[in-house]
Amino acid sequence: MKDFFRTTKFKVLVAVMAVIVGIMIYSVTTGGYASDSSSVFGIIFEPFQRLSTNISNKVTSTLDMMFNAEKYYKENIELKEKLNEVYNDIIDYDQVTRENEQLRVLLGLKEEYNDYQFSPPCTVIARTTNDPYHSFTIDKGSDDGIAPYDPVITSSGLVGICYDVSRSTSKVRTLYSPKTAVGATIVRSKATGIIEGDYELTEEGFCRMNYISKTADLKVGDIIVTSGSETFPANQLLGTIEEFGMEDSGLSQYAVIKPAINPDDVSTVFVITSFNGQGGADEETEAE
Amino acid sequence: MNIDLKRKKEKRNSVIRWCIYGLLLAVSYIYMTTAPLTLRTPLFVIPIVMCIAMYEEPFDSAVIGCAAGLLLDTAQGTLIGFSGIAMLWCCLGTSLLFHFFMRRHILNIIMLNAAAAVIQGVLHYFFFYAIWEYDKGGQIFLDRFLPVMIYTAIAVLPFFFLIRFLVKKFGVIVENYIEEKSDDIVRE
Repeated sequence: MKDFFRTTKFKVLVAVMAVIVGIMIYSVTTGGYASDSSSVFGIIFEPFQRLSTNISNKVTSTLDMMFNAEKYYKENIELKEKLNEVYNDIIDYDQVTRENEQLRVLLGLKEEYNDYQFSPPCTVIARTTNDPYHSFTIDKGSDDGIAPYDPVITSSGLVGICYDVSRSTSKVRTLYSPKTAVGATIVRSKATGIIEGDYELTEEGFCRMNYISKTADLKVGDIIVTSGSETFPANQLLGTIEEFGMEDSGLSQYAVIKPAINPDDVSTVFVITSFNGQGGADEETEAE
Repeated sequence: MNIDLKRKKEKRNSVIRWCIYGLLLAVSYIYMTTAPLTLRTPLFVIPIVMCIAMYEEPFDSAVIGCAAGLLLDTAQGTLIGFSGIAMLWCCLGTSLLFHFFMRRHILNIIMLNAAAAVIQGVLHYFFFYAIWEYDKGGQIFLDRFLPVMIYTAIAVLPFFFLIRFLVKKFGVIVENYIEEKSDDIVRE
């Protein structure tokens, strides 16, 4: 065995390792952009990941239809009943109009925020294996104008933030991650706080809003939106309050938030590449 | 058998064998990156390359180990090269052990694969969670990393039999000769 360590092959392996260490050191100094080596991997694997995601989605949906037909039948009946209720609600036109106006404000529809610049629609091509905070990879990168720390949304609200951006792919850190701290406002009471991930809550599909004033008026079901910062535009829907309470210290309140978006169900997202008040990637951001 | 023919066949077998190794790695990588996030997915590439290392030359094992580690890095979102280096050494060590000290027995590979899974898991947890002092880091380790390490250790069983079959089917061609003593040979 000693002879192997004297061979040229072993020296080649040591050289390979040295190169990898060099790549690793370079990667950590690229400030959120993926290194060229990562980009090469991204380019190589993107078609495979896209293909495998399509196959996986097709198989899952087919199996789902086969095994859950009865459940969907029941759901269908329930939904029909609900639809009838909705038809009755629609009769009250004025009320619906008012609600619509409120929703426009809350959901931050594009016509109200014409300062936004969006990336092309991005498809989720891979999920990060065994990540406790459910991050994933999308099929658009710096070639499509995406930069590190750009916010990621769907029509239903904020999903997370981009990091590790290569030329053709980007990784997305979700609201579940403790690294994605988002300034948030409760729409009804205007109370503010910071939404952060919490491992235990993530397992149940929730996150946590901390540092809410102890005198703030909170109610279950209150809608939470972004308060606006250099990283996140204002009035993006984050979720609703599921429960709340006083912190052990007694200095502030916390709330458990049901995010508007479940990252596990997301298949297409948009990245906001620019908005008024956005800070640069190199500047200090909330996400850091 | 003609020596040239034998060499040709062995070369062809080697190409087929390595293509199947590559296919196995690609399929496992695709599964790892598309599995639902709520599942604890075994890191299938680890048992695959460990089983390969059991039969292949140390240098080849180290190279495929390094490649598998890089796949693992892209799948897990870790720094490119992090698992690459770890798997390079794990596979090199495994290959050397099986070439010089150990029998190619299932218990040995189970033990070494479990060690590789633990090394990879502990390093991942330490460098990406523990030193950043994540809240409830211990719980993350017990809930996420430990089950993955256990599943990865168990996942070696099917791959052991599959790789052993591949090596038998597409490995070195062994020829058995029956030598007969003959007094009829006329020597001039």
